[in-house]
Amino acid sequence: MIRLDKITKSYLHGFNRSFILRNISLDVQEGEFVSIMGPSGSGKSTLLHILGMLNEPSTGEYFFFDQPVHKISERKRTDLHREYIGFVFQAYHLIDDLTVYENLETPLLYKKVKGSERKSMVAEMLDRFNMVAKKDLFPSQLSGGQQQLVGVARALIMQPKLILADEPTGNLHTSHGEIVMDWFRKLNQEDGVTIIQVTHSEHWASYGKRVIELVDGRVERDELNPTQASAE
Amino acid sequence: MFKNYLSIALRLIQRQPGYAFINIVGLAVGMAAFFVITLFITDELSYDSHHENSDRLYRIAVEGTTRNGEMRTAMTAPSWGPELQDEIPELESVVRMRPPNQMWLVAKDNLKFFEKGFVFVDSTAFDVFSFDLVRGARESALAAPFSVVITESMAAKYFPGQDPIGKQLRLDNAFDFSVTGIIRDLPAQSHFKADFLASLTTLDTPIYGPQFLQQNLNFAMYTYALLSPGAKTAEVEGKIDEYIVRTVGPQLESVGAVLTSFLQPIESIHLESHLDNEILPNGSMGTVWSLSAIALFILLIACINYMNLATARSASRSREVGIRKVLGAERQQLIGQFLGESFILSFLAMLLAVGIVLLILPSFNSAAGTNLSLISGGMVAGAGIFLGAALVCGFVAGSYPAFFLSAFSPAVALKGGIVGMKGNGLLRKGLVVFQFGTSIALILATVVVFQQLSFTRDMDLGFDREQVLVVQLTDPSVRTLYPMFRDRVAEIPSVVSVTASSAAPGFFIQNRLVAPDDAPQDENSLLQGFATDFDFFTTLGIDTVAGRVHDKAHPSDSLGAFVINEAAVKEFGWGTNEVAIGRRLAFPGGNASGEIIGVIENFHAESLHEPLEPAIFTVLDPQTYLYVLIRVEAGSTRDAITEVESIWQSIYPAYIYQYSFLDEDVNRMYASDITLGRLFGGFSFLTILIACLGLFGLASFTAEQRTKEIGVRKVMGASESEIVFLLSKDFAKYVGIAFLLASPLAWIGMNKWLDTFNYRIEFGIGTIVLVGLGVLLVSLITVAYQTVKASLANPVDALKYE
Repeated sequence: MIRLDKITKSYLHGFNRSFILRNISLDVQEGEFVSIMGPSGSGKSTLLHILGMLNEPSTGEYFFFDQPVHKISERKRTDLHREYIGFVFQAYHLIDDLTVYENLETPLLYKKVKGSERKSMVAEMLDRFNMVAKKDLFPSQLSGGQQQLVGVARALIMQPKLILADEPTGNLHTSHGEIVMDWFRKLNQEDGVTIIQVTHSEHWASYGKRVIELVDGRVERDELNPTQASAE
Repeated sequence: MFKNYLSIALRLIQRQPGYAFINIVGLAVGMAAFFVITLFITDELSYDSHHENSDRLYRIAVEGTTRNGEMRTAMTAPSWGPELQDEIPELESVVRMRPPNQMWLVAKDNLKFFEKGFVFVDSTAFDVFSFDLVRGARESALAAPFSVVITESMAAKYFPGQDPIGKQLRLDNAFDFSVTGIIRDLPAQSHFKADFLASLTTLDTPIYGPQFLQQNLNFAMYTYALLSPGAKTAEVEGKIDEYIVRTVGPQLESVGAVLTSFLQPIESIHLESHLDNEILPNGSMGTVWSLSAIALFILLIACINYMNLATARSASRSREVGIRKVLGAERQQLIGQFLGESFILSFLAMLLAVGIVLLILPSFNSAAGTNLSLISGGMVAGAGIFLGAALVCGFVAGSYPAFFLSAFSPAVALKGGIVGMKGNGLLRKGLVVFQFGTSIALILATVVVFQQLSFTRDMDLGFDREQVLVVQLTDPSVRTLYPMFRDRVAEIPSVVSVTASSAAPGFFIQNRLVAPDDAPQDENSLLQGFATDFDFFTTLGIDTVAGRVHDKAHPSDSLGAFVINEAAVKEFGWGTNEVAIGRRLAFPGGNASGEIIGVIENFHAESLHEPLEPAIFTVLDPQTYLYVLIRVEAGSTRDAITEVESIWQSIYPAYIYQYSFLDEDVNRMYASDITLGRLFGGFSFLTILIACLGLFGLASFTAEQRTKEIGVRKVMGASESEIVFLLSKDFAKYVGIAFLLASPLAWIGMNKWLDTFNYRIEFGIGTIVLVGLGVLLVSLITVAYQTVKASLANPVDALKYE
């Protein structure tokens, strides 16, 4: 599904070039649940943004379902990520001025889904996440955990093949975090959605089947999760 | 999708009402100013376009040189019209028109009104002008003498509920006209006023004296010509010039004058024609241009507010941009969203602006002397202009945030990472500088206009204009009884003195050709001619500098005794005033001549736009007097007016008592300058208001952006006043730069305007600096609330915020 070949990302600082990512090569198959770990500044989020086509690598090649992402036009890239990728953020990133319902609806609007279909898709999501009663509330009226569930629901509404989650539980109480991570596990196991999450914590990382550790922009460790492996 | 944008826009208004208020109100005020000016300009530009053939309709005017300089007049001689039509084939139709000197008294039984719109016209008027005849026969209505065609509103005024056709109207208590037709009212946008069209053949009778229509060198008639399609104006002008040379050439030559004709397109007359003897005061292209510029500037300033505030808020909006991009939004869609928001705001502003226009139109109309209305003629075009303005504003105002914000890559946008962007700040500063530059320039212009006006108001004109009542003698029979009127008015205790004159300051003054007896043949000078009663100079408080003025005690003074002013002494090159006494003067061509008995001090009878002219004063018979001048004791003006009125009623029961005050008449000469001042004043107030609204909003965002910096500084020990200074300094800097850029431009522009006055103020550094300081003060007060609030904040809160 994903193949990265010698991806680097660097910025010029005056006359010095500082590298965020160095020569990352990586394959991710459909149906995987990958946790990316590493200390602050190791390039986790940058890698995730590149995978999600929000940011471009400085050099290297990126194939998504065999499409050369590094070569295709912005429009085509937008189409790809509209079609296949859902995002979940640490800071939830809901639109403050829209209600829960409207937040869920927004990606469908950009995808030009018809009105009636849109309604039923949003209704289904609300139902699935037990948020029907909250559909007319604004994000500021929800707890952090609830906001993040809206974030997850919004990512799922387009039925993506891949969910990219940037420290999805970082701002949450543990109990709320569990709920979110249980959702990810369920999606991965029951619907076969590929999930790549970035996390600081071993605990949350352990939900994944595979753990990649980045240090200073390099892949330091890439192995199957022992706990997960034993569970299967 | 649209609903999504709409709800975002409306919720933004709800959530940040202050921000929305500044944007919408600022934009609305700007649009309202723009709309009002647009109404004014369309009105000005539409003059005389209602004539069907206006593209080939011209007024024949005359220009040339006499020994005294140039003359350019809108009038031609009465005999020319029909003769020109006979001999020049390109003239499809010619019409002569004779409006009243001042006004005519029109009566229907006991209904009496002074009418300025009573004009005599040839029966060809219906071919040349687009008069819409609703009753009466086109060919015959104006054929017979003493026929009159009236407008529908005059029909309603004089013949309420009756059929006017065949009924009589009495002119000047003497001449009966029968109504032969009714036309629709003329549009107000006409360079002449015509409520009554009387047959010109009437003038064969002695209303204007015998042989009036045969006079070929008395410029007393307006002549209009409809050219045949394809005719070349230059050729026609050439043929008219040939006609002039052939018919009156020798007479012109004998007085040393050379005249040529020129054709004025009728639609250009209102704005571009500034000849002698214009029928009504015309507008000016300069006013149209400067108001257009002001309209655009005000609108631009309002749009800039929107851009500034929107970009200042871009940090908070950029996160939304990031999210939307992540959710699959394309750049065009985001541009659409921001523009859409801005369209919604500008549309709301437009609705508010329409309300404001309705509110301020009456005051604009009274300030500008116009009669504009939103619900007049071009409603559809007007609505189009309004919507267009709203769209353009929405686009201009929204374009910067739309194109700027939507360009960020989502990763950057999500971090809200554009706070420190330099380019954005520079543009914002530039826009603020532009706003304040415009404000400063407009305020400077206003100040200069008012200074010049008060200068003209306070300048010693050489006569005492206060406490003088002016009563008009509109009619020959009124003038006949003037001596009786004068003697009775003189008996009123509060009346200091009474006199009469053919001309008065603020009214039309006729020029006369005058030559000293011993001057070589054909060397004449053009002098302002005043036919006066005795006591003219004492009534107006004009000092005698040599000899004496006319005196009842010298019976000979009413037979060829002249008083001249100092300028006339200079004109004749006599060196000293005393030399002039005893010299003889004559009116060339006529037989009147006489001796100079005195020289008076110069006084300004015309506006200060004009140079001071030489003048000659002679006592003549009452038929030449048009104005009675009555000096009244201070404090008893009101009583005097009523007492004079009761005398008038007893002597002239059939005539309307019309009076004014001399100082008002004098001020009326500056009507267009006063209008200009009022308009500049009003619009510069609006400009500074809008600019300050914007500055207020900007100051709040700047303070917010620098919260952390302020917190750190306070922790480091900065005092509150130091913080206020720090924050105000930037704004003061913008105003300073704006001042440096704008004041030279304003200085050049206003000097140009002042040059149109013969007597003008010099405005120097002082005025400019004062205006600059004033604007600086206003802007600092505007930002004070925000800066003081920021400086008083607890630093701990500020630092926690990050």
